Amino acid sequence: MLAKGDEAFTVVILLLTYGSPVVMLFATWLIGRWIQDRHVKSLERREADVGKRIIVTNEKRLPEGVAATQGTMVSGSVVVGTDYFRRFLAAWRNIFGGRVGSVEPILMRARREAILRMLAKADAQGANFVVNVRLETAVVGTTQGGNNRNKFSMCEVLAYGTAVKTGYDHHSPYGVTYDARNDRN
Amino acid sequence: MYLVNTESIPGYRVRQSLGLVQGNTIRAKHIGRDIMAGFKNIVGGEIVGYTELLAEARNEATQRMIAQAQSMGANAIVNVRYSTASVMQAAAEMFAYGTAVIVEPENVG
Repeated sequence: MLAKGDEAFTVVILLLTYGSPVVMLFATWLIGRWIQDRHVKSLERREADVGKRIIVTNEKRLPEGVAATQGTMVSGSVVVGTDYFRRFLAAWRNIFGGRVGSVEPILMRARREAILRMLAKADAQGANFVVNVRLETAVVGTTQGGNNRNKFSMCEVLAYGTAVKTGYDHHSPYGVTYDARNDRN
Repeated sequence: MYLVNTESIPGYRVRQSLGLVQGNTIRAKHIGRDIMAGFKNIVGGEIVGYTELLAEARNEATQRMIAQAQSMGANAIVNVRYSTASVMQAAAEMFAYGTAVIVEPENVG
């Protein structure tokens, strides 16, 4: 999600940490939005690309009539944190209660990223189905030290499933590609 | 060793079920990574160091599960599930479990 050039931003923000909280909020709002826009674009592009080759399902079995030769497990994971601005909004929500809308997109993006990483592994194996996909979210712990306001927790999202290679052709109107070997009997 | 999280392996038949196998590992984060993660949490986004750490830990739990299955004489593990728990403030447990089985290729035709 973050490219190498983003380290520069981290340094700038670090300097701002000791500056005004208002500047800090504004800066993290801008940067957070920029990172999110860029990530969503990247997700959409990769999803459209891999979607041409792989069908993902959380059903336990392949669709009726589709035969597979072998299956292997594939998984993808990502650990995400929230930015200062979103944590500020979330803390505000904690007083009145209700939907924490600022943090929702972070977890949804993490989930899509985890699924894409899983699919990249399936794609490398030449699989065209990933079945029995499971998604799991876990809080992996808060950081040590710091005062309560600066404490944060991180979330890990894991996606795993079984990648299978089948004779199914997503582009064929008949679904299954014609295979002369099927006519042997 | 075949590893799948479905009940059966396509193209193979389960000959014998040997029972539950499991593997776990608890990993603590180190302070250097914590500091870097702290910086990353100002701007948000992925915390790459932890993604790698947890992926490594999950891999180790899987390897332990595989080792147990091998000692039982299995050649595949079906129905694999993962689970993650935060057991202490700065440590996470990775847990992998599944059913060790002996499979054989299905006779075609």
